[in-house]
Amino acid sequence: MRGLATYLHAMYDRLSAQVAFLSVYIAEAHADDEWRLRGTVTVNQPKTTAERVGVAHRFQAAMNWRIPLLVDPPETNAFERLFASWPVRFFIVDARGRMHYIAEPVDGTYDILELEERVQALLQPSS
Amino acid sequence: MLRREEQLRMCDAQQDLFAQVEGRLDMDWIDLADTLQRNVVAEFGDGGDADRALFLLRTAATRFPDDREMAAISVYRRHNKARRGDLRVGDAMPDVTLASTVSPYNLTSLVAYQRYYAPDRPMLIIAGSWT
Repeated sequence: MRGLATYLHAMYDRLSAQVAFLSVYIAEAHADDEWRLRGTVTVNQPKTTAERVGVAHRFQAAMNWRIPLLVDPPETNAFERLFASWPVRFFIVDARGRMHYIAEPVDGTYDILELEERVQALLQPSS
Repeated sequence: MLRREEQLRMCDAQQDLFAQVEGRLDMDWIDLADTLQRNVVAEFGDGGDADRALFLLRTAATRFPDDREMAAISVYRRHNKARRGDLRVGDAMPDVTLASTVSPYNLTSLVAYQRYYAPDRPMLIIAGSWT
């Protein structure tokens, strides 16, 4: 999520009065003990909820992450299993609790502008 | 070729290259992995169709689904969890238990969270990790 942090926080600041934002901390995309990819962050894949909560807490502090954050417990990875969210994915849920938008990657990345367009469209009176 | 790719991908020199492109907007590690694979193809190739050879390299595990060694050689086969999933637009949001980031953590229901914080407005969920 760190690569998108600046844009996501700008969207959060613009829209959080009209849209509830929730970030969910799921399995590491590039844990050092799995799919190693050297960078500024080195994290082994957490095995317990306490471990992942600890990593998520460090992430919040390091990134100044202000978007509300909950953690997918690694004992089940239930969120990841049901939402197929690894390594990163976006979802919009309407006020009735129905899935309104499930982002699909194109060439391994997401069109972040489309995400905001989808949110804005849902806020229009006709939707 | 898969073994050679894995050897090169995990070596310190390549990992240093991955680290060097972090945060750049004009390229990222996927571009470097693409170059690495093309170099492997060139190393093993006979001057034939390089794009065809690259395709064969990238799809080897898919074309030999019963070959356990083939499936286990590449890090992106061993650890790639990406999939489309079964959730579709119009489905009710699945309920799962999530933990707070405070210590000691609390557990909460995603549906209960949505009903409390977004009873009359949409909710945007961003899923991901630090890495």
